[in-house]
Amino acid sequence: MELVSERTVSKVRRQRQRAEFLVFLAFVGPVLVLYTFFLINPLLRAIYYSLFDWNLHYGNYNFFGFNNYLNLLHDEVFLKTLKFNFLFALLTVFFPNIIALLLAVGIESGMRKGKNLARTLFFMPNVMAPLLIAFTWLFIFTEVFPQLFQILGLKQLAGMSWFGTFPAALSAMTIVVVWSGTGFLLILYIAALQTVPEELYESADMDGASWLRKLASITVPLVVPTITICLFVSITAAFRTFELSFGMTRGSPMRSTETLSYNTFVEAFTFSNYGAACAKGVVLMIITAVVGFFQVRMTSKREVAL
Amino acid sequence: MVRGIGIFLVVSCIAGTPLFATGEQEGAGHRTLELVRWHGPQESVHGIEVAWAKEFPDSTLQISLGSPIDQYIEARLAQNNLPDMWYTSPFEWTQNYARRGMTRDLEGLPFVDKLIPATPRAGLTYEGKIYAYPAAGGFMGAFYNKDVFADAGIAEERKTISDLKSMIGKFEALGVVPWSTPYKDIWPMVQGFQQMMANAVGQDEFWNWVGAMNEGEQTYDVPKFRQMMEVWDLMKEHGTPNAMDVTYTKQIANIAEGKAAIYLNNESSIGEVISMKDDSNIGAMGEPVSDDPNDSLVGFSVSIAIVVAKDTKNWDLVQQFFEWCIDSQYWQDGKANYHSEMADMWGIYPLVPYDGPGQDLGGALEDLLYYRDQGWITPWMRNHEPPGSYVEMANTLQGYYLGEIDVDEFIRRLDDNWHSLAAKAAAAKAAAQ
Repeated sequence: MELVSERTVSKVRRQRQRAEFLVFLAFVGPVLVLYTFFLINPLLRAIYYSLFDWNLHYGNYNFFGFNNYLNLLHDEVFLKTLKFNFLFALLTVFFPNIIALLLAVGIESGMRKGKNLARTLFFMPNVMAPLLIAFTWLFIFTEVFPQLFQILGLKQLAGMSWFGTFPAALSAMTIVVVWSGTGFLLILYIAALQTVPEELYESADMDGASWLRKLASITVPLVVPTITICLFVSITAAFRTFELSFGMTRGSPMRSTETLSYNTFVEAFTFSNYGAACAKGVVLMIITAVVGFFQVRMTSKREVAL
Repeated sequence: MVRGIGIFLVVSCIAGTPLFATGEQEGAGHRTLELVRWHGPQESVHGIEVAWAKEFPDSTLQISLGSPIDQYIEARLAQNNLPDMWYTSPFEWTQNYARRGMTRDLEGLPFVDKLIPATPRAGLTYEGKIYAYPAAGGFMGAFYNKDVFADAGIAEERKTISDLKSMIGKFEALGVVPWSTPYKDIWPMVQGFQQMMANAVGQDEFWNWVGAMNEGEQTYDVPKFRQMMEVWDLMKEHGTPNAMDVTYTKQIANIAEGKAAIYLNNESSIGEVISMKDDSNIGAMGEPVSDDPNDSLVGFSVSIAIVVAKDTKNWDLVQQFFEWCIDSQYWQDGKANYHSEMADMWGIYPLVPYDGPGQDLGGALEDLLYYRDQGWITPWMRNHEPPGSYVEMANTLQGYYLGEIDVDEFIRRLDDNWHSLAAKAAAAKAAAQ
């Protein structure tokens, strides 16, 4: 029997690799082109424009070095916005995740019927456009709640101004994020809980472990990979939030509820300072990346391999 | 296979329709005159396009939407494809486009001699030449529900601060909120303040004051400022409860339903009150800032200015458009033109003599025109502030309204806001040159 030469084998292998690469390119190539054009390209341009003193209204466009970035250090409103966004992120990462995790545990362990219905109901806000959510909740806070509380005889709540003070406006924004963001996290947590082996709970039951102990010692450690993802999703969402500031509070009262995204928007489309707005956009991107990076690193260390 | 052919046909039809539609109109010397506007649905201007097509079948008037218009125009400029004409504001924007050489002067066109005396020509002018057609005049003032005034036994005349104080009890006895204050939306708050401030500065001092503010040498703390703030204190105390939760739409409803008596806004709001309640009787008056009724003025300015691209290829059509706009023969013969359609649809009136059809503004229009013709007007403050200043003004106003800052701090912040933005604007203008 004639042996196939090593050269032929190598040639066939190269041809196969080339074919595989072409298939890879056929699938990934178009997406890569789109990604580069619509994401990488604007990103690089934003970094470039952030180095210019560019005001659309007056038509000036001059190289400005890092002055747009340095100016941010003295921009009182921007610093206030930064502080607010961290506080907002803290609240909107903490509450939706805790509520989603507890709900997921409740649905998975306590419900025999109607699990799908519950999941669907909680997920529904995710199919609504964020701006629509903001407008709808604006209507609820200003028109529905006062009348509802009046009917219920809760006069103090009925007379409450949701947008007249910073704590009330922040609470309103947090309520909306909890309502709209919990469903998505819930689905992720349910999926994670379904991967936890039942035997672990059975063993714990035999040892007489309480519900809380099982949650702390079995459930949470085994869903840490999902917690990592959920926290990342929540943090990035908190820093990218625009619609609530734009559609619900307009940054009021006294520009105290402006998120970084909304502040960037105002810089660009109200003041026409495109260079400064690009600098703010770049800073926002860096903050989100850094916070996300440290969060992933911290939670990854606590992941438990099954 | 059949499905594939079906999809191909549907896509071809969708893609082909505008292609063929454009091709048909652009053929055989048919030209399109493009006017870019800044708001409103397409059906609101369709009547103007149809009226033009009837009168001038050899060309098409295309009124398209570009919003926010300043950014839209910059994008078109970057493409070297400016429209023939576009809406803008008088003063800063009109002059800015002229300074940058983007627009052409309209000196010598027939409309220039037909403008009514109250037209603020300075807002249309750059280096002594007219650069914009004032397509609409707008008013800012205090509007009120006439039925509520009648029920409270209050005369419809120019008011002073003392008059306002004496009216409050009468309204509240009827269960009516004296002022509708929808400060969930910041613009009604800012507009109301700007107009009062213009009245506090006064007609005679206005231009000097604006110039000195831009130089950083004047202050909001003019002699009548603190007296004017008494009105804001009254509004704080007797305005809509939880004002920061009340939207503009709610304000309109409150006035239409007679739940509130007075509101501060511009004349376009009247049409919205009437659209909520057909038989609304709305009156207009100046905003009092002192105990002298002569200080109670309304703001009047050009609300829509139309500028023309310097390099338009349709200059003859542009001239034809402006002649069409000012020719009263059209509305007198019952035919439509730009102004008759705008007046009929929006209650927007031109700054050339006009006696054609128009939207009923519940009696308020007569009041406003009376103020205008008597000269009881001030310029709109907002046309003269440095761009973007309303953001910080709203912030500061909210602070005062919510009791977070006192009047001295209020003045300091307003001054800082104007002075710093004016300095930035001057630097940017210098850099652009």
